[in-house]
Amino acid sequence: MSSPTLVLFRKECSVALRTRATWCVFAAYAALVGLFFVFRLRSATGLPGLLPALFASPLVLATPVPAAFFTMGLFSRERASGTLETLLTAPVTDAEVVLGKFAAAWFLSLLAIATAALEFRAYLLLASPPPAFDPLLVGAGFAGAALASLLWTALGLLLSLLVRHESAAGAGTLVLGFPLATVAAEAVPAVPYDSALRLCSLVDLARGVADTRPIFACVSVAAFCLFVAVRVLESRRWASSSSV
Amino acid sequence: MTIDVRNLVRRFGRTTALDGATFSAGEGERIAVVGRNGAGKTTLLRVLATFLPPDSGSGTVAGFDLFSRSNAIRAVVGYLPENAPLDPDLRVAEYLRFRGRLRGLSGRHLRRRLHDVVAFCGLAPLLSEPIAALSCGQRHAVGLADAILHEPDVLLFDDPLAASDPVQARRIATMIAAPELSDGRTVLFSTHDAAFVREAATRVLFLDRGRIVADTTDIPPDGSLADWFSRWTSAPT
Repeated sequence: MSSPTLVLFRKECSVALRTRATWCVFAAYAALVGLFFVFRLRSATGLPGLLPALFASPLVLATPVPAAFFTMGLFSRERASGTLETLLTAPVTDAEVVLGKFAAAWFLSLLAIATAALEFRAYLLLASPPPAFDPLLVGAGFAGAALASLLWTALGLLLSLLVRHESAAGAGTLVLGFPLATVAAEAVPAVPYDSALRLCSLVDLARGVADTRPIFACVSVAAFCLFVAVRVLESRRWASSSSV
Repeated sequence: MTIDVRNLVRRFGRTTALDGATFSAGEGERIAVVGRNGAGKTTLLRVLATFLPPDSGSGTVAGFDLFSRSNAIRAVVGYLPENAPLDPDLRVAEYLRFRGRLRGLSGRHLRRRLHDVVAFCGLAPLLSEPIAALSCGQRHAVGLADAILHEPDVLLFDDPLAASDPVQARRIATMIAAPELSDGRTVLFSTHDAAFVREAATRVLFLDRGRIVADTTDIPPDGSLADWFSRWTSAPT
């Protein structure tokens, strides 16, 4: 990570972590994951084998929330306050700006995902008898959620560049994110394994199935969104002065 | 020459904001860019600051080509945009540190430069203040500190007195007119204030509909900008 990217990353993170809204989002994410998890536990049968997938599914389902929150103001707020002009006249390339902001938003989303680990720990402490499961599979579930978060964060950043109002960018990320997350997470175990949707499943990771196709798809789409974001930022310079 | 531009053109749709601007500027010059609203002052400064690319023309800033070396130009230009947009979520000290690091300053050098610009701009009492709580004049002072933090070769100020009260405007004007600010560098500023031009400028560029219609070191000792416009051009004021 080049130096201006790192400087932007640190600044975005420090600003976000000092606001109450950020901590409210962490709490909301944990609450949403907990709610989905309890709902899935109630309908689950044959618990020990399914536990990692049961927990990974809510993780993935709730990821659009922090991704939308942490990306919605990345560019739209800068445009509204006029600070994009001071940022883009510093010796920083457009790619460094996009990368620094993206890295910060993804890191904050990962922090939100990490709060869910406490919930899982609490469940293990309270469950009687304690369920048997493979911790590596739960870890793979977290990796799947991180991957999904990568995708929504890149999408949210792009929307933040494309729309003028940050609330519209956030709403857009949620509107696009939730249905896709539902597909990615699979309604375990409601969706049959032979469903076509399984091709997109990230929860397969939590079942120990290391299918590289969803990983490749997520990383490719995220990289494409970031590439488009850099191009959009460049094209803003050619637009009318009022829309920069 | 620190700035050397030829026939710069910048259009926004059907509007030609900059229509063949040509001028050169050397070290130590303090140039006031004046003209009516919409004359192209902001566009000229934005092009020189590499925020907007020109549609055509040619030029160099600090020896770097305006079209192909924009990032190199940004490293040697200090730019204060109109209304001094600053990050409202940061405190003054944090903002200046952030801007310094973004420009590659670090460690002892960054601390020394922060100390110098804070002293020059009189920001010591404001360092722990949130930027969102600053008055317009104070924001301009912070923006000025940001612009000179990395000791640039070229300084560009877009209407630095705008929306400031008379006392704050005088302070900003005094800072920009200070000899140490233009020592070894080129300063360009746009303004609508004739007194400020008289105090701070050694040369005036008068823009009208995107064209430089007057380029003079003969700055009248009295009168308003409107009077000067009449004198330099035949256009009605």
